[in-house]
Amino acid sequence: MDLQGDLFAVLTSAGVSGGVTLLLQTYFTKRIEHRFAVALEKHKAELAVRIQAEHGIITRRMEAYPKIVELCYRTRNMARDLVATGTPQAALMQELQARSRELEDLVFRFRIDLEADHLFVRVHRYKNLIQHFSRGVAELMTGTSAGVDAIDLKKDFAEIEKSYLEVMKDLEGSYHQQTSGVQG
Amino acid sequence: MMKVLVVYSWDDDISQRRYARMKGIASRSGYDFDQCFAVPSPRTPPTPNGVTNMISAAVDQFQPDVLLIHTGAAYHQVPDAFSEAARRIHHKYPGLRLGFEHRPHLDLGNLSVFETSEEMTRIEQTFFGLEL
Repeated sequence: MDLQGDLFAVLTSAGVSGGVTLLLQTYFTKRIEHRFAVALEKHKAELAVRIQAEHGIITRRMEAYPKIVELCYRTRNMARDLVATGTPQAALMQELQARSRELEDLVFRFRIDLEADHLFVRVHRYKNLIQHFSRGVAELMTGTSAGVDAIDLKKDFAEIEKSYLEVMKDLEGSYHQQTSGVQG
Repeated sequence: MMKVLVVYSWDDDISQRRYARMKGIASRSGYDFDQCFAVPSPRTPPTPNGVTNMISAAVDQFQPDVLLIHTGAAYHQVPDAFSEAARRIHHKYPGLRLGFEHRPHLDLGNLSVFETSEEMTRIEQTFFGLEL
């Protein structure tokens, strides 16, 4: 009887402890799984927000940079034509001033993007060179200059051309880098 | 001859070329021109203290009659720093006449420290406004 009683007690004890262990194991497993699931969802949500924000930034740059490139190209060509014609043309000059103001607006509006891509100083310098050039032409046309010697448009244009090539290289490089990032 | 000090954004190779040209334009219009800068470099964000100190140093040295603020890259970065600096400069040098480069949607125009006379408009146009 004693042996049977002992055996029953051992089996009961083992059964109870096994049951408790199983319960605890299930509880902790579920709890850990739940915590991981919550953390995973949180991480997924953060990732989605970050991807959306980065996508927005890239989209904005992909819209802005081609406009800046176009304005640099057009203003460079206008400056070249103004130097080539010898006699400044009022219509072309007014067009150059309008486009340089447009460029200035874009440079300031997208400064944060240009800064982030380390392009701001270079593009801003190009914009200033164009404005310096157009002011020189305006002085010649309105007769406010002390003389032709004071304004060397060819020299100013040589600086514009040099700066233009640098700006184009940087902007195109940055643009292609970002578009390939989007495609990848 | 009226002394005009213009505050540009920062010193670079273009500012030196512009200086030579502006000196000539100013001289022919009857002004004595000098320039100073709001920040030491494009990498330095403008602060009220920084801009005020840079301008004060130039004002003490050149002692201008008129101070003009160019509303370019540095201004666009932190407009409030320039508004505050303009207030402080006006307070520190009450006799100094203040003007600025006008552009659409500028907050500076709302500050009472800037002179709005016809003469000031002419001075501002001389330094900022030569267009066809």
